[in-house]
Amino acid sequence: MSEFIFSYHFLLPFHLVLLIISVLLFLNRIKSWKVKNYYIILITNLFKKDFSLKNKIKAIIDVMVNDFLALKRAGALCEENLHFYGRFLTLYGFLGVAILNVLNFLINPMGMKLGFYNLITILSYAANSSLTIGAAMLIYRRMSRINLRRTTDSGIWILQSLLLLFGLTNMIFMTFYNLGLTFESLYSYIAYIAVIAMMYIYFPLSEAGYFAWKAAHLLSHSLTKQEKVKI
Amino acid sequence: MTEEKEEKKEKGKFIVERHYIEDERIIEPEKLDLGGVDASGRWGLLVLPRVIEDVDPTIKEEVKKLPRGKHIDNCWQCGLCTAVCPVSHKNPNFNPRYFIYIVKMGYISEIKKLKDFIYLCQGCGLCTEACPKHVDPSGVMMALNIFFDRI
Repeated sequence: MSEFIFSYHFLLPFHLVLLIISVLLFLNRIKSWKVKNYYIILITNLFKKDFSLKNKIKAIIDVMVNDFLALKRAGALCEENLHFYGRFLTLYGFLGVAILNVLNFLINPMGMKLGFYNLITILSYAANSSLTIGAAMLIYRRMSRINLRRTTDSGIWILQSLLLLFGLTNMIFMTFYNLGLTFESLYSYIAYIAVIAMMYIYFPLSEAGYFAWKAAHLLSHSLTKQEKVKI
Repeated sequence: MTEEKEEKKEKGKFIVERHYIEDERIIEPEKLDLGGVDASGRWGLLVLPRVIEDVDPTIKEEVKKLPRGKHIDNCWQCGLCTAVCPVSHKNPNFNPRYFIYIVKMGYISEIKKLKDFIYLCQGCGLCTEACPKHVDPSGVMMALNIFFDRI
């Protein structure tokens, strides 16, 4: 049984089903806000012939690099290290984990043990540590400030806790798995995929859903040259 | 063209918080004689009243239904949120206090004018930490990000 759930024969449909549920929940949430669905607009704009392909790529890269990767619309200007580095580590850690999971799937589809000295394992530890530290910084920041703590709604606590648990459970599982501890790795793996399932379900209903909508909003505007004001 | 732009920029430059007033509302007569008294330039400066025709006081209720927008009613316009906001310092058109004000008053035309600036919010929460009435301005900005898209 453990071999089956560690392999991508289980993981691929698991991710696919949850992704579909997640997308449906996200679309429903956008509908409940009574705003435009910028993902549809974005796709339409991508196929429009009003602008050259070069300009489209340039606009997308500009938004992705400045607003998203450099966090210029998500904390880079807030002049507070705890907040900026918290978000920075969480974002890059999460991206790292996602990319490494895809890489692992491509080179190791049966989910075989890679060992501690494998490059993917080392990078996975780095990405998960980054995510865990980032999420812990964000939680600590909210807990240590009275007004911030008082007005923080449960949704944010849940979101940040899920991110923290995601990084932690993944690291614990990787350690047990690479040490060859079958039972421990099985239980930690079940905890890890349970956290993943919760993330798929909860993300579209949380602030992460809002960020996903905002990203599409900014991207689609940059493509139609109605670019939002920059600082 | 550049001279014209420069002139526009200079218009009403002595007004405190000049960025809140549109160029069209500032009248600075080049030559004005008031019964022998020279009132040209800044001495004859007039700021036309702001006329808001498009008002809908119910929009606040819509914002309250959006995520994190529920405390908007608590705001008493002290402006501490704007005072601590790093984005507001860089771009004065991003003014959390004023955004809350125009939504509470239901000034649709003002929202239309300023709505693109709302997307500059970093969500850092410094305003939330500073707010004495627990409005959670950072959360309200998030709700307004969504709401302004409807307008």
